[in-house]
Amino acid sequence: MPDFAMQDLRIRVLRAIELQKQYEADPEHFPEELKVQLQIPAEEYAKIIEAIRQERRSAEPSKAVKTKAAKAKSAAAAVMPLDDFMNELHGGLK
Amino acid sequence: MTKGHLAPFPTVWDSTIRSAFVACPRQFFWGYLNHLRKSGLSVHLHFGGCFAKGLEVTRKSFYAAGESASSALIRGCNAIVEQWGEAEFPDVPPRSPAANKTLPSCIDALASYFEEWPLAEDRLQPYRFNGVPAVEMSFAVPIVGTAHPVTGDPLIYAGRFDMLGYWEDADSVFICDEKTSSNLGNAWINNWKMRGQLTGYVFGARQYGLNAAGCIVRGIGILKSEITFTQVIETRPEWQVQQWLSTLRYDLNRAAAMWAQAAELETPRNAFPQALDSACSSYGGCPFLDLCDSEHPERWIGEYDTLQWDPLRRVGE
Repeated sequence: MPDFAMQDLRIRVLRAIELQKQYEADPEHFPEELKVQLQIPAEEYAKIIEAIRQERRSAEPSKAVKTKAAKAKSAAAAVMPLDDFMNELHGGLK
Repeated sequence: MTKGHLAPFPTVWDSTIRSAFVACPRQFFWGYLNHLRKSGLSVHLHFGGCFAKGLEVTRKSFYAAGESASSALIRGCNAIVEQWGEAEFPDVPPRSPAANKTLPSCIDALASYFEEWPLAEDRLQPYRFNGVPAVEMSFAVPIVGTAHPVTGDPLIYAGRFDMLGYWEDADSVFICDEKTSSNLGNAWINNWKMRGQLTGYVFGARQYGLNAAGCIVRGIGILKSEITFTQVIETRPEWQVQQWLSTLRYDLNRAAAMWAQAAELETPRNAFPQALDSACSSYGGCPFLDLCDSEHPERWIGEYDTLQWDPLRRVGE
């Protein structure tokens, strides 16, 4: 079953946003027990993001995707190196 | 829209409107005079809008609010989740590149982007105006030599870019624009050489007294199981900006002349000729094909939504 981590994050983030609005509207009457849901702890959040990425990495890419990735890498390698660019920019070659 | 009725001529133009007009004046007529949109949300526009929002919030949290990189990334992810909302795209074919544009891949793209170009170490740092980082900037400039067909005032050219950056290595200011794509090959890289959108950004920045050297276009490849990156550096010397400005004037005045002619016609659309070429089929097909291949397009207009394009706002805002 894909996207477990994403579903978990989505539900918690939307809940936190909703609670935040309630809290800002009336902080005095905001239930104490819900304050813990106002924010997802940073360390836990980072783990969820990593889990989302790992779920995607584990998906088997198709042959077409592999070809695209290889083409992108080859195209990136062909982009003008920084030194050449600097020469062009300051050398008035344009 | 009724027969003989002509919608007002747009006062504010941007590269999207100009692009539609030069591709096909009839496309401009449907999309930017009558504000018609194909029903339903485009996965590409939605994904791009959510990703841009995530970038903006992350950068502002880090560069303006002074938060840590990890905290800023969390805020960016929250912004993506919130903007994504309940959007679903059941009509996207499962094996198509569009199928890779999901909420998890958007989160992945944001986290991967700041691994590729870490906030603190990125060689392109935001330019600062009185200490405020130039993240998400817009401009609007009257184009001298153009005239609105009703008021006679100059038309306005507007734009909005992701970041104005200072590149220390080059001792130059560059506009940074991010583009998500399913393919970052050579064809993608060659997209930007003459692209008027980028020249317009440079023009806008220079009108505000910033001598921008050009644009840095960062491509984010959204693949099924990974995120790839490419960066293209495009300079725009002044002669090229002037060449673009001259073309822009010509296009705006041509559109205004068509509009003035349309005002005299019982069927105004006839003043906006159809391109009858690749514009009808490129990028998955023109959204207005159903109108153009009908003898009575009025009968099909109900199938479209109405949404006014605002050059200074991002899709989804």
